[in-house]
Amino acid sequence: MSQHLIRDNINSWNTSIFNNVLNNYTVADEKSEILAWLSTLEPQRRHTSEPGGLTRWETGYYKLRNTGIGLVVFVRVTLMVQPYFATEVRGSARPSLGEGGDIR
Amino acid sequence: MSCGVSSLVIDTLCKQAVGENAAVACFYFDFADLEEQSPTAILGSVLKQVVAGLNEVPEAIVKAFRNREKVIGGQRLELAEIVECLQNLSSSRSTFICIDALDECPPAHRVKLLDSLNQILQNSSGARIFLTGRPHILDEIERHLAGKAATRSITPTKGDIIIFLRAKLKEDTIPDAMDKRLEKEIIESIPETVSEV
Repeated sequence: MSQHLIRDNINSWNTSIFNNVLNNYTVADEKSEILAWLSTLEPQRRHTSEPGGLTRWETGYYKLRNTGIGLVVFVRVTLMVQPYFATEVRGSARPSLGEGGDIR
Repeated sequence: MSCGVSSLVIDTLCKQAVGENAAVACFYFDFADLEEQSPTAILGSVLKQVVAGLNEVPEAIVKAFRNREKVIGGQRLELAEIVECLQNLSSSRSTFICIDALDECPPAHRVKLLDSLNQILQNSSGARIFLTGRPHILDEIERHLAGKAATRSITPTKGDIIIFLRAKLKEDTIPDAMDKRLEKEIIESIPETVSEV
């Protein structure tokens, strides 16, 4: 009798754990599927055209291109300030940004 | 450079959001990838980030997924549905939506996007939106967000540019191509071309 009870308990325990694992797996798995379904974009990726291009020095002309004055627009949030750069220099130096050095 | 602004804001918001049960979602426009950056794709991506931060996916989204994934073959949510989901989610939880370089969004998409953002703001008390972009889109933003936007124009001083250039020159991975004379020329000539405000 006691043996039977123990076996039942073990079975019950195993079943319970199995179900939990299965359910957790299913829930987590479906969440990742739903997230992929909502969007395939990688929004957190930041600009690839950062001014890091400045370090690519080459022989020839030097061009740094960027235009406009920066603007930050806040909607119902605290104000904050940070500069954009608006510069263009051509001709005199050796470094180059390479092709399409459009820096933001 | 707006990326630097956005990154700073987003990083700060993310740090604060941890202890405040707030959601922070961001989108960085990339001019090299405009075709995939429709308003539906952008806000879908925002919704994905908000949902990812929840313990459980809202039932309405689960139902929509199950219905469409299996019956219609994976049809995604439409813009109006995404907007509605974002409204609902940001009504119960502070939600910061950050969009960087809005000026890089094609004008037709931008109008739709701004209208959608306006709709979210109108119907949700917990929604906060942070946008960056070049000055020529300011009128458009004010028109579509109808007085809800606080704006700040930002420009560098000559000193800012010199600091920036020095930092970048210091990071040069090919220092042999640089000498003192060239460095001096760069430091002197570039700031001269920028008008201080």
